[in-house]
Parts: sequence; structure tokens; C-alpha cells
Amino acid sequence: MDTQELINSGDLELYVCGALELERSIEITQALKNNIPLQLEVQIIEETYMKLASGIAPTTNEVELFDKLQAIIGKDNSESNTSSWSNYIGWAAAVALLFGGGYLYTNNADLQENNTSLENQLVTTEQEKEILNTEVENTRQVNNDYEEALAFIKNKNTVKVNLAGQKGFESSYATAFHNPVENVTYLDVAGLPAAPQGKSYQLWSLTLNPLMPTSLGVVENSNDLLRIENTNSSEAFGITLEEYEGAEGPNLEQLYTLGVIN
Amino acid sequence: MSAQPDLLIARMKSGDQTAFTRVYDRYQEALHGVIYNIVKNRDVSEEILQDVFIKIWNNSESYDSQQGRFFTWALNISRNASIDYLRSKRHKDSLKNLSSDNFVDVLETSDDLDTATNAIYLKKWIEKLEPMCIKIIDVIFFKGFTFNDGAKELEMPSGTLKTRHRKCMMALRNMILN
Repeated sequence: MDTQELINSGDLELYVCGALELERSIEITQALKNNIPLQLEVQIIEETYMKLASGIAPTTNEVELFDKLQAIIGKDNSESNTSSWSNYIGWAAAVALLFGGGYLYTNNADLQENNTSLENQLVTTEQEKEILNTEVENTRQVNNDYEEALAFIKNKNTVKVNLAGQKGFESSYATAFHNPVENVTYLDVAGLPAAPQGKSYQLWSLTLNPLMPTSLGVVENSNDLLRIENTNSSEAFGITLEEYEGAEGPNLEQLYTLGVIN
Repeated sequence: MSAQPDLLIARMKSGDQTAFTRVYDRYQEALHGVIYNIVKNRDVSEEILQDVFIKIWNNSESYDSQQGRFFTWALNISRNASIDYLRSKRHKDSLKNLSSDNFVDVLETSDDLDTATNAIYLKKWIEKLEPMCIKIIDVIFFKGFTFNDGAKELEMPSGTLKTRHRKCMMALRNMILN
């Protein structure tokens, strides 16, 4: 079942609802890997269900509700000794105070040690916060990229071009999404094998009459859609395997995939 | 549109409360809607929502991304918790009238939803949906029937159910996302 067949099958909707057999769900999870159009489709389906369900959510005092929840979770954490920095720092501060009151003069060294420990914990907390912020920013960037790619694919001027595996490389494939109005091409090369050491794949824009290749540059193996500025009057796309830095003209003996714009 | 926040989910699984807060923010409203549609009582739905997120927090390491989406996993927890409540003695002892049949009945008859902005939009969307779509979405999404059980419930061949479900969702998503 190819990508479009799977999208049209209705299985993705059932997958998000949890209505499929486990075995089929695992198969779909596998199919989603490295397949951006499928991932986008699943995200849209999930978002539709979430908006639908949100329409039947009663108005609540969300802050109060979450405070109650956090109180329970925080309590569980302290009982089970799992990590919660805020609780831990509070606990450490209480210990420091106890030391400060009872042993201010006799145990000054211990107090210093506790202070150092507290400072270290604060530094660690700050580092954790920075890591989380970076991750959030990365996630936001990925989201933006997805949204941009989706808008591009949905654009009425964008055409999908299937680049089929050529002789000797039948199992290879790639997909281009070309928009001649915006002069942009997105390329999905997840169906190409890893390029051998010292070699690169190179994307070519082709005119058919006369047959004329123009290089659109070397492309790395990637699971993401690659965005390429393309001002050529492309009538077809081909991908060849070339020396690492690319070639002036295509090596047709190493033509992996080729697809004509309909 | 946004992707599943895999990094946040991974952080939550490793015990990060901040990540849990963000996961809660993202999913609570949709899960609350699913729960409310089953129990049809605001106070009860809030209690169950709280229990659901406690389960999500305590059992997050059991979520296996190979088996499906995080939303799907949380959806199953929410439906199961709501159905457990309906089967409980506490519910059976209550005098609530639960005659509403599907999510549209709930939407139209519930006093708890009158002022919810989302509900106002949803009413507009579902007016344009075919009646069969409402039944299908209710059974498959809100009630959580398996594909085969849903076909039996709706008395249609499973292939037909799958095709119609897809068609209904396409109609709904064109309204919701556009």
C-alpha cells in the first residue's frame, strides 16, 4: 500500500481513534517513519479530533483544576522520593535553616557545605531550564517547518512528481513537490539508500525538448523535506549519484530516480 | 497544526513536572470533552480528568510510541476511566438522567456547555454533517468501539464503516481547519 492508498484507506483515522488491532497500529507507526506526507496527514486527523472533542468540554476553572492536580502529584513525588527540583530545593533550604539555627557557631563548616550544595542545585536547575527552553524552541521550529511544508503542498500551484527507481536501482524512489509560481521545489529523499562514502546524490531539473539537465545541487540523505529554490522551467527531475562535491553534468549510469511533471 | 511533542513526552516520562504541565495544557481540553461526553456531569468529568492525568503521570513510562500516538493512549485512558465510573456503584446510586445518546445530543442539551466558545463553533460545524456521520464519529471516536465492534453496532459492513468514517472526517476537518 503506497502513501496515497494508505491515506485514502481510512486506516489513519482509525489509528488515531485507537480503533485498530494492535498489530495494524504498529504497522502504521512503522509506515509513518520517514514519510512526511503521512505524518502530516495523521497530525491533521489528530487535530481535527482534538478540536471536535474540545467543543464538548465544559467551561472550567483550569487554574484551580491544575493546582489540585499538581498538589497530588507533588505529594506523590515527595512520598516516593522521585525528583522534583522545586521540592528538593525547598527541603534543602529547610535543612539549611535548621543547621543555621541550631549549629550556627559550632557547625559553620557544615552550613557552608550546605550552601554550596544549594548553589550547585540552583545551577543545575537553571541548566535544566535552559535545556527545556532549547527543546521547546526546537519543537517550535519543527512545527513551523511542518506548517510551511504543508501550506506549500496544499497550494493549488504545487504539483507532486513521483521519481521512480531506474534500472539497477529499482527499489529507490523519491518525491518532489514543485511549485512553478513560487519557484520552489520540496524534495523527499527518504526512499534513497545511504550515499556511499565520498559520494553525494545530485538533483537535476530537466527540460525534455531539448533534453537539458540543470543542477539543483547535491542533496544529503534526510528524513525531512528539503526545500530548494528552483527558477528553472522544470519538466522532469532526476537524481544521480556523483562525486561528493557534485558534477557539472549527470552521470546517467548512476541515475537512481527519474520523474516527469504531468 | 503542530506535531506530537515527542521531546516533552520524553521529558515527562523521565519525571519532569514542567514537561508534564505543558502536556496537560495541550491535551486537557480535548480529553475533558471525551470524558464529559460519556459521564455528562461537569463535576464528575473534572474529577475523572484529574484522575486521568494522575494516571498519565504515574504510568507515562508505559506509553509505547511504537503502538500509536500519545493522544490515542491518553484517549483510551480517558474513555476507560469514564466507563469505569458509569459502571460504579456511585454512579448507579445517583439520580442523573443519562438519556442523551451521542455527542450532538450532549452538545444540544447540556447546560454546562452553553457559554463555551468551542461549543458554539462545534454546533455550527455539525449542523452541516450528515446524520450518519454523527453516529459514526460518536461510536468510533467518542465511545471508543473497535473497528469491528463499531461495524456491528452501526449494522454496516466494516469496509463501508471505514470508508464512511474517512469521508465524514474529511468533511469535518475541512470545516474545522479551514
